[in-house]
Amino acid sequence: MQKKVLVVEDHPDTHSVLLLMIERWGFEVVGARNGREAMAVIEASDFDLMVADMAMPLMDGFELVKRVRARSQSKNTPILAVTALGAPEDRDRCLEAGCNDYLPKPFSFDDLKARIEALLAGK
Amino acid sequence: MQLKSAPSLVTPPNREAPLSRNEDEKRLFVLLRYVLIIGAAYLFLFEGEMEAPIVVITLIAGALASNVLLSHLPVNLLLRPFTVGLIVCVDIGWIVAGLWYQGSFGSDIILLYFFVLFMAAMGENLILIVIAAVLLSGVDLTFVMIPGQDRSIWTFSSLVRIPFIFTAALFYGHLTENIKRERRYALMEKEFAEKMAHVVHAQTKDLREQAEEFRMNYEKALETSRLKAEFVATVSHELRTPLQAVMGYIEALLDGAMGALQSSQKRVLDRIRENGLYILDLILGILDLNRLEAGRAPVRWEEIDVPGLLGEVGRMTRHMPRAGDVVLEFYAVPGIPMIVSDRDKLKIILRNLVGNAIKFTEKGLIMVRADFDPETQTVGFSVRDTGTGIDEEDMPFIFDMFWQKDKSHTHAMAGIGLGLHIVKRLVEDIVGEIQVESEKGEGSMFRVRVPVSPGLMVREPHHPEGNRRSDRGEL
Repeated sequence: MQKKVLVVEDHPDTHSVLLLMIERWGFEVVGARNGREAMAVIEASDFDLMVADMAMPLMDGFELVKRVRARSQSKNTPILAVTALGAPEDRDRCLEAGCNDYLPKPFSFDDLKARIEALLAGK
Repeated sequence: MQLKSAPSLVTPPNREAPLSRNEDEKRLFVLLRYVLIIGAAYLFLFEGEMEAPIVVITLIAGALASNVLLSHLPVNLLLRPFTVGLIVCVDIGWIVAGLWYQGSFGSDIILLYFFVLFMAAMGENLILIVIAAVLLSGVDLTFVMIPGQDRSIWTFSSLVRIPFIFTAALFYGHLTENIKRERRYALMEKEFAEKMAHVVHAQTKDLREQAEEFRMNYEKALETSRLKAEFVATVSHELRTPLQAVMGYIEALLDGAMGALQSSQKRVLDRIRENGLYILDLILGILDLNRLEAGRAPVRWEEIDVPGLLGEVGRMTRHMPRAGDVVLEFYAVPGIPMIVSDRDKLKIILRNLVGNAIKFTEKGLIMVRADFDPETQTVGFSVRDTGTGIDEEDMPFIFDMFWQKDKSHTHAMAGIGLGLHIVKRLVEDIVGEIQVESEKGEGSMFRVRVPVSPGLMVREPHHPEGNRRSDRGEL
C-alpha cells in the first residue's frame, strides 16, 4: 500500500518541489503551509510520516510536533524535521521536541529520500 | 591611557627620621632637667642660711634619682604629652615645696618662678622666654630686693636666683618650643594629607569615569558583536532557504521530474548545480566561523562510531563539484573503537579538508582514511590528495584566516580562505592535532589526530610543544 507523507513547509517553492519529488518516489503526498493547516489535515485523515519545517508562521514546527505527539493516533508516527536552523543545538531542540530525525537545509534529495525510507522502515 | 589630571607634585613635609630625632630630644630633655634640678639645688643650698636640711637634700636627691630613672624610659613613653605634663607638675611641686620649706625666701621668688612658667605657657619662643626671665630677675633684684636692704647687688646672696630662673626658663621654654614644633609638624602633615586626599580623590574620580567609559565601550562592543553574529546567522539562514528551493528544482529537473532533458540542458543544469553547491559551501563556512567567533560553538562530547562518521562525511562531500578525473574514497581501517569527541566539529573538519583537497586536485585520488593507534590511544583521520601540493614558503600561512595562495587554482572557485582556519580552530577545540605533509606537484596530506577520549591526548615526542607547532605545517 502507498505510504502517506505529510509535508509541512511555508516556503512556496520548497513546498512545491518537496511535493513533486516525494510524489515521484512513489508516496502519496499531502501538503500544508503551516502548523494550523497541518493540524487540519491530521484531524481529517491519518498519515505514515511527517516532513516538517520548524520555522513557520501561525504555528511553528515545535508546537506542531507537540500536538501531533499528543494525539494517540500519531503518538509514534515518524517525524522528520527539515530546517534552515543549522546549529548542533537546533538538532537537539528538534529531537527533544519529539522529531525522530533532523535534516538541515539545504539538503540534497538523495539524503531526504534515504532518511524517509529509513524512518518508514522503522530504523 | 592618560589620566586627565596629571599627578600633582605633592611631597610630604621634610621631617628628620623620627627615631633619631626622638633620641636627641630625650637626651636634651633629661639634660635640661638636670640643669633645672642643679639650679634649684643651688638656690636651696646657697641662698639664705647655707645649711642643708635633710628634707631639701632628700627632695634634690629624689629629683636627681627620678631624672636618672627618666633617662632609662623609652623615648616614646617619655616624650608623650601626658608624661611631660606629669613631670612638669611634679617638678613644680617639689620646687615650690623646697622654696616653702626653706622659708628664707620672700614670696617674690615663687612669683618669679610661676611667671616663668606662665611665660612658657603663653610664649612659644625659647630665647624670648630666657631673656624675659633673666631681665625680670634682674629687675626684681635691682628694684625689689636692694632698696629694702643695704647691700651691694654683687654681694647679695639672692644673686644665686638668676641661675635658677635661667635654668627654669630654659627647661620650660624648651618644652614649649617642642610643643610648638610638634604642632607645626602636625599642621604640615594635616595639610599634606588633605592635599593628598584631594589628589587621590580627583584621580580616583578620573579612574572611575574611565572605567565606566571602558565598561560602556566594552558592552557596546559586545552588543555590536552579538548583533553582527545574529545578523550573519540571519543572513545565512535567509540565503539557505531560497537556495534550498533552487537546489531542489535543479535536482528535480535533473531527475527528469519535468520531462526528459537534452544533454545540453543537462550540462547547463549540472553547471548551475555545481555553482549552487559552491555557494552553499561558502555559506556553511561563514556560518561555522560566525559560530566560532561568537563563542557559540561549545564542544559537545559524545560517543562516536568512526566508520559511521566517515559515511556521513562521504554523503556530505560526494556532491561537491570536482574535476572529472578525481576519485573520492573513504576507508576506515577495521578495529577502530568508539571515540568520545564532537561529531559536528569532526564533520566540519573533514568536510573542509575534503573540500580543500577537491579544490586543488585535477586528477587522481582523494583518499579519506581513519585508523587507530593503540599506543597513543588516538584515532587519525587523514585526507590525502594527488593535487598541486603546497609550497614550502606557504606552509606557515595556510591556517591563517582569509589566507589564499592566489587565484590560479586548478578549480575555478577558490573560496574565501576560511576552510583551513576553521579546521585548525576546531581541531584545537577537540584537543586534537593537525599535521600537514606536502610535496609540490605530488599532492598533500592533512592528518588530524584526536584522542579516543578527550582526557587521553598524548603528544607525539617529536612535537613537544603540542599542536601549536605541528599545525604550522612541520614536516
